[in-house]
Amino acid sequence: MKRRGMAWVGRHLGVPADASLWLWLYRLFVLPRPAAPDQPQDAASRLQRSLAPLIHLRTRLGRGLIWLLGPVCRPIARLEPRLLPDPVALNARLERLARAPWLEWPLLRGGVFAVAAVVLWLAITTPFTGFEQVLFFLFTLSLALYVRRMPGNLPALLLIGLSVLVSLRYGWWRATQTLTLESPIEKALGWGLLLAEIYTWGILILGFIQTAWPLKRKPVPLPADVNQWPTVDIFVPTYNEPLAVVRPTVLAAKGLDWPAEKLRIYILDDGRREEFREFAAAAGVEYMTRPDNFHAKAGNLNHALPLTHGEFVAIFDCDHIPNRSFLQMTMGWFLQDQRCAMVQTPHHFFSADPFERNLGTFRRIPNEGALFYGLVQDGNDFWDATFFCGSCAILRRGPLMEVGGIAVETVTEDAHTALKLHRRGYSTAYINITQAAGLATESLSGHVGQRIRWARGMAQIFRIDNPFLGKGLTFFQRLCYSNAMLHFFYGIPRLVFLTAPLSFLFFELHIINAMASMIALYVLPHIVHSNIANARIQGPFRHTFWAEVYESVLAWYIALPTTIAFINPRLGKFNVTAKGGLVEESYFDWVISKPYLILVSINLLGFGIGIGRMFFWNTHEQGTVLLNLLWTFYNLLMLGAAVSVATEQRQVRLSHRVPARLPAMLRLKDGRALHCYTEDFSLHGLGLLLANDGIRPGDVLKVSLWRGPVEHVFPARVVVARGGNVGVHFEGLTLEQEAALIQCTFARADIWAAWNNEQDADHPLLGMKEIFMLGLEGYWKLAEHMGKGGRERWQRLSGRPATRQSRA
Amino acid sequence: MPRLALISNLGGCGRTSLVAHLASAFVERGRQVLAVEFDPANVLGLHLGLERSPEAGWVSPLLAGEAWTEAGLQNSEQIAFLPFGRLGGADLAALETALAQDEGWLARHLSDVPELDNALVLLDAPPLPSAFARQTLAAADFILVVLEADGRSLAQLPALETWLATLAPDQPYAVLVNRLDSSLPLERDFLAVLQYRLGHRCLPYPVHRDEAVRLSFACFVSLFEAHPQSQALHDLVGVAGWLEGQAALAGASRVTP
Ligand SMILES: Nc1ncnc2c1ncn2[C@@H]1O[C@H](COP(=O)(O)OP(=O)(O)O)[C@@H](O)[C@H]1O
Ligand SMILES: [Mg+2]
Repeated sequence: MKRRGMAWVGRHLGVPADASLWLWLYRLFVLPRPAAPDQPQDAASRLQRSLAPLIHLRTRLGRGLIWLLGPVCRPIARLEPRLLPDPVALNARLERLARAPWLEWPLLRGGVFAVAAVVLWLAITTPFTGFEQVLFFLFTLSLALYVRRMPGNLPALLLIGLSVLVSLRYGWWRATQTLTLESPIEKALGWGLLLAEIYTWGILILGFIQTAWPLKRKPVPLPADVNQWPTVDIFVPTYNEPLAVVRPTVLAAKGLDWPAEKLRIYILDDGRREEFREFAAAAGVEYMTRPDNFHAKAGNLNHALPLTHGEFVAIFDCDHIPNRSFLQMTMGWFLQDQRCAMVQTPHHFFSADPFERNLGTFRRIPNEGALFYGLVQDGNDFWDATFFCGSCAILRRGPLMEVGGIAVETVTEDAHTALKLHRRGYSTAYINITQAAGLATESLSGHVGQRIRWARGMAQIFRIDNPFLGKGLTFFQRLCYSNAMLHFFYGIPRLVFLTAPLSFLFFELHIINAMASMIALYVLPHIVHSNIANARIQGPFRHTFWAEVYESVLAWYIALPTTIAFINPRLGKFNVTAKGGLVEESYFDWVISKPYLILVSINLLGFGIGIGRMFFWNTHEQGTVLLNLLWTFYNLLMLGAAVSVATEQRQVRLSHRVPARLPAMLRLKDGRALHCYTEDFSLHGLGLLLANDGIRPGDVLKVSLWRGPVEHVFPARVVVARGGNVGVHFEGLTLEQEAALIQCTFARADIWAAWNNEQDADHPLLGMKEIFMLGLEGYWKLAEHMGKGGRERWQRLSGRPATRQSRA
Repeated sequence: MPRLALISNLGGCGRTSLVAHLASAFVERGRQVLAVEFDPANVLGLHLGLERSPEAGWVSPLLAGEAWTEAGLQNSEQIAFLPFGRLGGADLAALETALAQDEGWLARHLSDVPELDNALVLLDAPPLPSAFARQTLAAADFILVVLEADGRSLAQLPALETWLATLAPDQPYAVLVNRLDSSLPLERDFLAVLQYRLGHRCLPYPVHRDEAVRLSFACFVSLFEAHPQSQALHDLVGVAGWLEGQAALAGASRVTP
């Protein structure tokens, strides 16, 4: 066994088995020159030759794997604890070491940094042969796999370090070894690809910095003396949303746990609707309009600012229903830290966004926003760079007025306002406890519209008030803001990746000058390590590969707006996203998915050509063809997911149900009172878990819910009664009852606390399978809808009415 | 054997029913229970599953100087109880004079009951100011005052407070609102006023009005068996749990003077 192992290593290092120890040592550092390859003879040998490195690699890797996983694995696993220290104990020791006082000595520090810099430089720039690169990868990989098992934040930093090292090594290699390109067109494309890659490395590293040490700030309790609590104005801006959407928000705001004489609620109605005025009067809140609609939401808020007087201003988008504890959770920090100008809480959505709905991942896989509100904001908070997100936040009036109110120069007024506050030296805070919840955007087009706005706004800020420039920001604040802005520029790089292999498959352009196997050997560690590091820091907030899915789907739409805003920040218009819509029948959004259908077509075509070049014609560089085929295949899966998202699933309910187990009581006509629990609630009814006890659909009854010890009773009618479930619909609620209902349900302090408990854990390999299935499903759905579309057209042609309303 | 007395200054507010169902609730929680009826109405047995009120009870043998603890019965839920029994007019009059002369009459005789390990004694009595009720007050370790969320309770609250003021200063008690029909706004308002007036002395969770209570009485069945989903049962289980947490009901009975 041992001898065979030595022979294997020897063969690769170019050392005969019986060589002296010196030669062994020498060969560990210096490899013999590879023999010059002779010209390929015929197709068969050419094929063999070009595939050789890959086959070679594959057999080696395969054997390595078998060796790892095989029976030998078990004794090793048993031996491992004796050979390697226990990761948990080691981590404890490391953390103690990190806090050692002598680490603070400037000389020592400088020395350590200098040595680290030199080693890093060597590790990044030393060119390796393929085999050496494999060894290097195996080394970093085993280190990472071991460190991964250590708990705590320090090991996460180690993983980040490894990932950065490997990625920089790849970048260096790409920049120095692979750019000798021939024709001008190849040069252009090659450099384009490199730029796109540089962008992703930059974002990767910025992201690591941003989230290296999530602060996880806890709320500070308020003083017991209520007289010290400040006055608060709640702003609920609205423009064109229906009253039904705004009512719960206002009623919940009225129930906030705060002295009533210190709390004022304002509906800021840019739609100037009589209905809203009446509602405000009935609900006992203030109502405000303005003569114009300049600067949309920002202008609306700014109009109200000079007319109101609370020491603090909380802002809730009109569909974000606050929990009663919102002020209790957030105000403490203001009283403790006088420089604190803003406290933000997460945006939480209790309905599925189009990704979640159309891909069936609701509450199973962290959604697009989860990363930002779960991790990025906590990371920002560490660098005192928490962004204002426009809603579910509270600001100190003084500083806000000092920066001229809400910023109006860009379409993302919120981020820009926070930037201005930070420039003035104010700090901001993030409390990662959901304190409000709302409806997610209903349709993909709405979702895309919103993301376009964010992307445009960020591009605008980047141009108008670049966080790298100007005064007042710390270095890390600059980095955090830059990442927030730059990461919206992923559109073009992503499109580059989605089409890069095609230049080779279609036109035989070589845009990376390297052997396919070498590319694989450098790219693979980069991908694997960044995934290991990200899985560690982002695990619960973004599953492996999902960033690619989200970006791929949105890339096309945001590419143009960001570019235009980058060139001329003043072009374009603000758009308000529609909420509360209904998808009556599932349909395929042909309009929005057109670019993706084109991308799919050309990638499929490229894939076909690649298969041809693999086996039938021009078969002289199969290695490269294979690599490009794999790449195209991956792209096709991502595009499949994009297509899948464009298939709008039927959505029947206008009011979304929130799963929750709350005690409830039914009072029946016959005088009985039944105790039960809710399964879910919505604005319009309850799902109850209750062995059916003579209850029939249509029965009129009273339902009780509790808010703390206080019982509230609601008139209702039974709509479903089967098995262990009874569904009731509220009927004729008075305004008070409606308010009580909100208080008993959406506005409960802890109602969103357990939201993510049933989420799947992140398993990178399972995730890969899932993405694979998602991609395939996209094509399946596409085929289905193509069939349907064809049928419809046929029906229309033959004069029969279409079964489905087509939508533009 | 700690003793829990349910008393009230209102008639028909559900004391006897509560004694029976609380007994079931305590048994469900694994506690031994002895329900003692100290009310000439002689109806506790009906609440505990008997189809007719028993002729024989514990009071007349006691008055006759006989072995009166033999009168104890036990129902299918393993609730032990002592029915009052039918008492002739002359006997009743004799008892009433005895009670009038001796405030500790009941307490003294109850200490003669053979010891049941850690069992809880539930005492049922007619409304105050009857002598029977005053006897249970004197005998109890913990007093559960039963009220309703209506104008009657509120009107008689001052009288009740007067009674409560006569208790020993360390005598623990709590007020329970029974038969709440929360669907009636007026009852909710009365409840709120009562809770405000009584403060922490009022249990935060009332027992709801529930037809299941009367149905189980009418059918001689246990609420627990026949109406497991009933709200009144749920409330009673909660009340029983709360009472178990009271120090006065945890250990042995106070030594009566
Ligand atoms: N929670 C309740 N819900 C409905 N009916 C009840 C409830 N509690 C008691 N009752 C009914 O009220 C009536 C009077 O109860 P009872 O226990 O005899 O009162 P008391 O002993 O105070 O005179 C009975 O018919 C009983 O079934
Ligand atoms: Mg009675």
